[in-house]
Amino acid sequence: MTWGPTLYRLLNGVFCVYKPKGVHCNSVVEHIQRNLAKDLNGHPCYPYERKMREIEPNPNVKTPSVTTEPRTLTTLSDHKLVLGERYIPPDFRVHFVTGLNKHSSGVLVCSVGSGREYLSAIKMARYLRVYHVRGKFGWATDNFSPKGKIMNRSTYHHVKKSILDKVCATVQAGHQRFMFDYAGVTQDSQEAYELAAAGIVRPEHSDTPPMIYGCHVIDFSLPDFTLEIHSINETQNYLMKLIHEIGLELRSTAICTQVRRIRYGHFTLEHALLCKHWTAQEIIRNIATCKHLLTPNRLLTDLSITEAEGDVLQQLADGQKPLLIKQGPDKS
Amino acid sequence: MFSKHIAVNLFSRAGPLTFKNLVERRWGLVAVHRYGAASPNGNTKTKDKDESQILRQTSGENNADALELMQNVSVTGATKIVEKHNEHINVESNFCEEKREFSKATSEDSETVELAVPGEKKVQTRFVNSNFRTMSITAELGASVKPQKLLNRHVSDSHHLIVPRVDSDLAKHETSTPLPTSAYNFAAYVDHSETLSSLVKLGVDLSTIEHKGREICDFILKMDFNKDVRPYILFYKQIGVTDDKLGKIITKCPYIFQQELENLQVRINYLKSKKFTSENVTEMVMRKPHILLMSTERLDAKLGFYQKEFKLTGHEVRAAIVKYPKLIIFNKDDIIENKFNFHELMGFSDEQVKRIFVSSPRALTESGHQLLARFDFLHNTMGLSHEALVQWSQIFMCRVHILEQRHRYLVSLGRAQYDPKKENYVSLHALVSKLDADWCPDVAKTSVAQFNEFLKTL
Repeated sequence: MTWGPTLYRLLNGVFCVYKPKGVHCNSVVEHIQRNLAKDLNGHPCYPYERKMREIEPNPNVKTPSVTTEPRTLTTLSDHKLVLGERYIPPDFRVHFVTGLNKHSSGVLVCSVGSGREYLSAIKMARYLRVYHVRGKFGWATDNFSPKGKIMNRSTYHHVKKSILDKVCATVQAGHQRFMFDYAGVTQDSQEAYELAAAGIVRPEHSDTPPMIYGCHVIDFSLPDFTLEIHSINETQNYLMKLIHEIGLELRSTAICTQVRRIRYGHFTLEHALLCKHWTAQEIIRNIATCKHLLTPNRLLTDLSITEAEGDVLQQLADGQKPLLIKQGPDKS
Repeated sequence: MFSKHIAVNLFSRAGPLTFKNLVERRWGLVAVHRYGAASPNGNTKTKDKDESQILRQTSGENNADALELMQNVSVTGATKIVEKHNEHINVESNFCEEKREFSKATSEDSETVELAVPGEKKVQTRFVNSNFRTMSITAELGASVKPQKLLNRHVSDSHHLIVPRVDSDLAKHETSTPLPTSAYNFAAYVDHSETLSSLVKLGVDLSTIEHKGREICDFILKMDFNKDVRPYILFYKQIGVTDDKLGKIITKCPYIFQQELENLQVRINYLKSKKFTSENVTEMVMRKPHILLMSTERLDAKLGFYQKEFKLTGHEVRAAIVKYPKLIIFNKDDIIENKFNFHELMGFSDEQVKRIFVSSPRALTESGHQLLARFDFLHNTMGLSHEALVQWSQIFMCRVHILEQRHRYLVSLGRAQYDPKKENYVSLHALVSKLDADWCPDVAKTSVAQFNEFLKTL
């Protein structure tokens, strides 16, 4: 059995969970905190719970107590039954970046303990997020989800995949039109050329309107269809509304039956821990895995290099934690 | 990191507190530690003449008393050690060395303790707490062991724990650091109170009791072990509660000490008169000690309620109560509401509701909206009939997300076949009962990794 505080010390870093649908992100955090407290309390947490070395009785020395087992509890007031469990859930500072709403599922990047310092860097990096959004033709509801109040029924047999492809392309083009505006550069400038040449043109900050970089149909079997959407600064409600508007564009109506985030920058489904794996052991293992995703070249996307101050860059390049990045983590 | 934020003013009604008061009010004080609990290490070196006098006094004059108050610890080998207690004892500093290996307290740590009451049968109990043996040995040796030679903290400190219950004249030797008048938890008093330390040795979780409110904390603090606690433990032993459960029961329901002992016996007798066997009664008390807090009239009314509400025979009522003793203390209105849910909203017949109650009484105590969500999924999504659900009504205790995950996986594999008349039948029991590691190969016939991959598509 490992010494509890040793495990507690290991619980510092960034990890990645698969948020199930139907629960809020805050419930996920509470769930993880509860599990961690329970797991660590299962390990020896008080000094007297450590096993002491047993000593062979020495016949030359008349020692009364060595025949018994060594004990370390000197006063009962130090006992676990008196002091209670060593760890309680709020001892584990768990945070997440770029949350998901209640009805969506998918990759959620979380931090525990001092790992929170990385979250601001992750947020600043403005990673691309990839969603699989499932829609269903034939209905329209007040909140775009199947559980809402049905506002409208419609037919959908005239919808073909080719038409849906076209609409998706329109959506993508319509968003990318504003790509340089959101990035804060003039479209015809040298700056814009350099940004575009460096790779994906990210929005200037996290308050710009949602930007969709890619929208493709990956599954089409009427009345259901699935879109793969690459975006930055989106919200899940925005994506649900997008499905609704695609439905209207196709002379029909559609509801959004599933929103699932399959990638958050370098964090993919492979890294994500399922609900049943939210244990101390798995999280510690996951922290070690995710550590490789937090190298400076991954955290510093092109735009944040221009923004970040020189010493921050130096720190990251040296492999230190980006302490000077002051922007708080996104808790939307 | 002891993050306990409850503030319990344990001595709320205590008035001005001095050590003498504490003793006179018989709050079960056991220890006089002249140098205060705050300096456990210091006393070994500064132990002076006065203290050794006290020790001699206790071991000489009140020897019988002392032994009794040491709770008659019978330790193998202890007597042998006591015989040669006049010999020079040298405790080596290598008494114990830390090693970075850890283990939980094992069963061999427990001690056999005789709880003897004059004129009554001796009942043996086991103190599940560890660390008792060393303390008792050193206490018996207390007079002769030269403390300055006891280099090890484990031995030297423990004597002040076991100094027997103080007489009023001993109380003159007040502690230099008086006990706090209020505290956040019991820890400040445990070392000084026989009651509290004995409860801890029995395995009672005082930290849990602290959460049960100020009133019960004050009450427990003022109890005297021999007078207020021992009879109840003997009572529990008498009705057959096993030793390892004693601590848990008291932790769960410390209110038992506020009840009259005669009343408890009357309630046990009542249950037995209703043809519960004594094994059943023991089992019920061990699982839900709160049932002893209910008066006989209320017990009777509750049993009658179940019999009348579900039109049960006496045997069926008893079987249900034994299966789930919480029913006795459960709110009637919630049961009625859930019966309504089953009957009117889900559409089970009276007979079927009765069968559900008899086979899994806990289903009637689940929250209504969860029951409805489960039924909705089982009946409308999985397409199971009412009769199929009654066949294995434990399914109503299964969380809906587990049902959903496993059902959807079986659907994706083409194995969701819930009709017993066709091949590849998956029973409800098989659907939910096993852990993933067994369920995947046995029922879904796939590996766990494939199942996990599927879960990430939900």
